Amino acid sequence: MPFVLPFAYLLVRNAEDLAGLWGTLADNSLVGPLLRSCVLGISVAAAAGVLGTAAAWLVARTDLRGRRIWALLLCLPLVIPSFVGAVALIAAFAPGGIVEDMLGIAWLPDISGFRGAFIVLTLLTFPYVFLPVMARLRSLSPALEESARLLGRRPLSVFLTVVVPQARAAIAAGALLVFLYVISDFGAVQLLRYDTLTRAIYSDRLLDATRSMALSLVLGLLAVGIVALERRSSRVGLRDHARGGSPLIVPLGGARRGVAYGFLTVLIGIALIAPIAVLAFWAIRGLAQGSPDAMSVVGDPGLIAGPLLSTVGVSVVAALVTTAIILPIAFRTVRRPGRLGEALAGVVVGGFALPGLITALALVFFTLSAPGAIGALYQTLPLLVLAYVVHHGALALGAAQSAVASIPQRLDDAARIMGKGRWQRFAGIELPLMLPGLAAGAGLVLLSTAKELPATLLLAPPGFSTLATKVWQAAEMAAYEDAAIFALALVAISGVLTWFLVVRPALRSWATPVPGAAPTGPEPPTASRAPEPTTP
Amino acid sequence: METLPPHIEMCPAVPTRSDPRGSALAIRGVERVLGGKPVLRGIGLDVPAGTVMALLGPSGCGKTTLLRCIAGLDRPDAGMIAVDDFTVSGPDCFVTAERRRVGMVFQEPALFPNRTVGGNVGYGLPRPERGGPRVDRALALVGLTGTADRMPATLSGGQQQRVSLARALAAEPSLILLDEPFAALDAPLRAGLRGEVRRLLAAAGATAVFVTHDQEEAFLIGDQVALMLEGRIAQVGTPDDLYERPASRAVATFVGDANLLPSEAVGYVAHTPVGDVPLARPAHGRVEVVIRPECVAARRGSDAVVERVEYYGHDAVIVTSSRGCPVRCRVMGRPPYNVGDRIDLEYVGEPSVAFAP
Repeated sequence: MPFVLPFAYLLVRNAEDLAGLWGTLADNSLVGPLLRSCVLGISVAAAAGVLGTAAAWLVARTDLRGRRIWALLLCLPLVIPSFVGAVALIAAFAPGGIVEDMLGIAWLPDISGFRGAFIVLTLLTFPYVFLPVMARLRSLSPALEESARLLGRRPLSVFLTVVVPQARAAIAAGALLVFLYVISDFGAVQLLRYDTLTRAIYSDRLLDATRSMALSLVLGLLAVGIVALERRSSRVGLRDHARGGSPLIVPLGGARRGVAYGFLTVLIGIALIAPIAVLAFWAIRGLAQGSPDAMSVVGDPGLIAGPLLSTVGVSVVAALVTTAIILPIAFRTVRRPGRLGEALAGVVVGGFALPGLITALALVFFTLSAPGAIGALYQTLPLLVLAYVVHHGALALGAAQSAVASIPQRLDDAARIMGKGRWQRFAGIELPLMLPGLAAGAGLVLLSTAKELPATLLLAPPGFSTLATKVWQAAEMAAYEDAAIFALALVAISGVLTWFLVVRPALRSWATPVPGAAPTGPEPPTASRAPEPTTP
Repeated sequence: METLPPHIEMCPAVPTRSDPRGSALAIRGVERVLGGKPVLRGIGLDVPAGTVMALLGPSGCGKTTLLRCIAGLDRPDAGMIAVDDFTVSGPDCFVTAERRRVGMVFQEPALFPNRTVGGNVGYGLPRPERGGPRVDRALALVGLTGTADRMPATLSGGQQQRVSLARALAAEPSLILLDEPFAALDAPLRAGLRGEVRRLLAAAGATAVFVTHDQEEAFLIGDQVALMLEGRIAQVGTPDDLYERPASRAVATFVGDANLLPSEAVGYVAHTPVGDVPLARPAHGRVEVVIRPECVAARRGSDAVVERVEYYGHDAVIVTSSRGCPVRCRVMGRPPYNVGDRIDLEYVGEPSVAFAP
């Protein structure tokens, strides 16, 4: 169980200086950052929950055109690292920024502090809600909604009283991921100067290591507490028995259709197009002005291709390893629910809530203090991959759990009756049926790994750089044109991967054949229920 | 017995009863507690080789749990199960489902959606025989020749269930378990499949346990019927045993329609509200006599008043009361009486049974 390492690290380090720990906990200065982390986490989770659910309903359950394109575009903000989003917002709205330059507007809103962090994080994290809720809405049986309509409810009332309660578990799971993402985020709050726990942990880590460790422990406990709370409330969740039939599609009339298109367009515009446009603006300006940095990046394809290949390679490996490690835990929690499974899942989710920096520091600490050969792992790729696994396991867990749960128990029983051992049943029946769901989870891990920064900076072997570290290094040296070019490459490659790993598997289940039709031709895997790439 | 199945080494054969021969399935004192609630309470049952035992009972009586214990998908808390005279489940041994080699058809078709029909049927066969003549034979048996290359999702529900049956038959197991296999199908399809399954099981010479909550289905398919009530076997016998000689009030009321008329018994005769009724077993004093509605004949008279007529098409039930006691009386075709008519009732059946009230 590598997932306990970050927590073990926090406990060990804090135990070394208990007096310092109590001092920090008793200190009033703890209250401010803790409160700000909570406020930011809750408000972003709520806003992302509303945005994600509304967008998911429009895409999954109305007759809007271009469903697949909308689904892809609405997932893509996921691929923009939070520090890139923050940089783009600053570049656009800061005094002397693009908006002031181009439009000549002198009065601009102040985007530093809570307001900016809230906007950036909401726009970049709502896909965590959008994806699972869209999958859930597609799989709901129409019977309940039709009954509600027949009982005289209007569409909005049906949505609020019938659809939302049935999708509640998916919405809550997505919002939980958003909350955990926000409280562990460092890039956006640092650049936008909003003093949360993570920022305090970072700024204290050298001058006041005791306080930094104590605050990390507080952050970890906050995350675990929220996860425990969510698990308790989701246990009384609704289970639908009536499955099957294609979902109800609501036709949108003229004006409403316009509003729907407008809403989605604006959402994608500010969450996806705007940051990309800012990056593109810089990159083009750099090239046009003949900045030597930008020219050298373009002139030598190896400068981009190297980090690009490293990014893809290490992300793919991390995604595969994470899925393989998570799968037994998913089986345990779904097939034999109990305290052990709950505890395992809780620890995995906790790993996601701790900042990547803590995970990385924990691995460094344990590797270097371990005896003999293990120490040699420091600054090697296996250790880096392990950090990604620990930090992103939660993203794969939810998808793996729904994949396991989507296999009817009777298929396993039937295979057992026919004399198949555990391994044969897994390889011959379960794995093929779970693949689309597992791919969605692995896709999320892959994307998160591709944009991961602190652990990569700390643990990467000398000379190994990913696109994310290149962006960071360029930005640190104020070479914004270079940063923009690397960031665009990161967004582009992530977009391609999102399409193949997250969106396409989710959409494939929309075209499941009706029994009795299409007697010939290759069959899509019929059990590929729309995956729900989230924690339970 | 030169070559023993592998599980025999672990599980010595235990004599299941004084004369175990001919019993393909023997169950002794099986208990199972699920969630703190006793679901199976001392089940004992013998199924002779080559016969079909219908396991009948209302939902929640434990019949599916018993079937899962026989299959090895669930382990009893106490008691013993033997298949072909080899103990597969007992206090010291438990043969897992994958090593029991029984066939099973589930309530909903449990076909592997990632495999073709042929791939499903051949899944339990040794590798060289998959896709061979055994698969084709099994499919031909259920009337689905030529579907081997199709995917299960392209078949109708009834066809899918037939593939499940072919899959269970293909490995030629000595014991086949069917768990309400028609429950999810339409009534007309169900009626057709019942006859077909009866014929297929007979043709295969297989021993089978068929779980159902439908009395008609149990009577039609079972050579014998075991009625389960609240985790116990209430009675085992041929369908006419259960119908005409129920062992208890509960059996009498669950199997078919029954009047339970308060009566005075004297030896082999009971004085009932519909006249004197012969008894199969002697009784004395105040009893309740089981009287099937079709064993009561009605004619115009004065004793009783017709209160309601339930018309079913092929027959009808007249609801009346005689000496203050409600009586149901079945007549073929359309009844010649209307509500309010006065009639006389008479018992016309075989000797019946009486229970203490």
